[in-house]
Amino acid sequence: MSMLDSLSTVASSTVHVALDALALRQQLISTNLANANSAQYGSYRIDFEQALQREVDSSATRSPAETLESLRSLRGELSSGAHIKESASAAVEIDQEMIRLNETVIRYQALIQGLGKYGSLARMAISGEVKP
Amino acid sequence: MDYFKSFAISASGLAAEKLRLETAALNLANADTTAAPGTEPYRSLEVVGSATQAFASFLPTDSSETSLSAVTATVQPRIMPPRMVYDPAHPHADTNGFVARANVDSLSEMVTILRATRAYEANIKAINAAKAMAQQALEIGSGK
Repeated sequence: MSMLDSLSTVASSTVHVALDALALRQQLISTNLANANSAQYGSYRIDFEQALQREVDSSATRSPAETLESLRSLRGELSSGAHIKESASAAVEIDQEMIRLNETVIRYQALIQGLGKYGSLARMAISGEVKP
Repeated sequence: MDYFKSFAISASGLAAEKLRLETAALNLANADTTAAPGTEPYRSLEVVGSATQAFASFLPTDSSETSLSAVTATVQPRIMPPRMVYDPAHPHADTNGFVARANVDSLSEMVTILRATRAYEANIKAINAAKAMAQQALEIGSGK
């Protein structure tokens, strides 16, 4: 990551956080679906969008370094399960989980595409060649 | 992000639903069995699924090497008295002419089969989603 650090911007770090969180959301949905017929099982949710939106909003008033630092700590929070909620009352609804699952995969793919474009910009900057 | 965790989670879900289906099949196969007087007829079995561990153990920060499984399913007999049917000519009839029949509710077994099939499908979809995401992740940086 050290070489890529010099290439990391607020935008790419935001995408990294979102990718991690979406992958985690996919795992939570898998766990919910695996327990679809379990007795006394509440379902898990992860809500990271608001926290990420706050970071992006506050990036206007902070230096990029500060925003990068707080994005890094948000990433740490996510991987330690800080934004995961377990609702004991809500039973698993397969249809709702499938909708969330599809949404998660599509958003993940969209972010990867965006990251690819970002990478091609960086490649263009390094090589100096403009490829169509 | 460890995609194999996601596969392990869904695999435990698949195993649980398969067990549910097998148990329902066993119940249906024994639906019409009777028992000689003094012996106990077939008791229908029920799969009881319960969440194995809190999600925290699936998080990247958790380094404990526990076997990953999101759900454990155990087979337990249903606590129900046998169905007594009056049929004096039956070889298994007792002195009062009643035959002890297995207490299998075919209707609810069919519903269990449907539910298990749907849940099995849902787990397959979750596996496919994890696969798609893992394959996409390999594409990072290969943008044109």
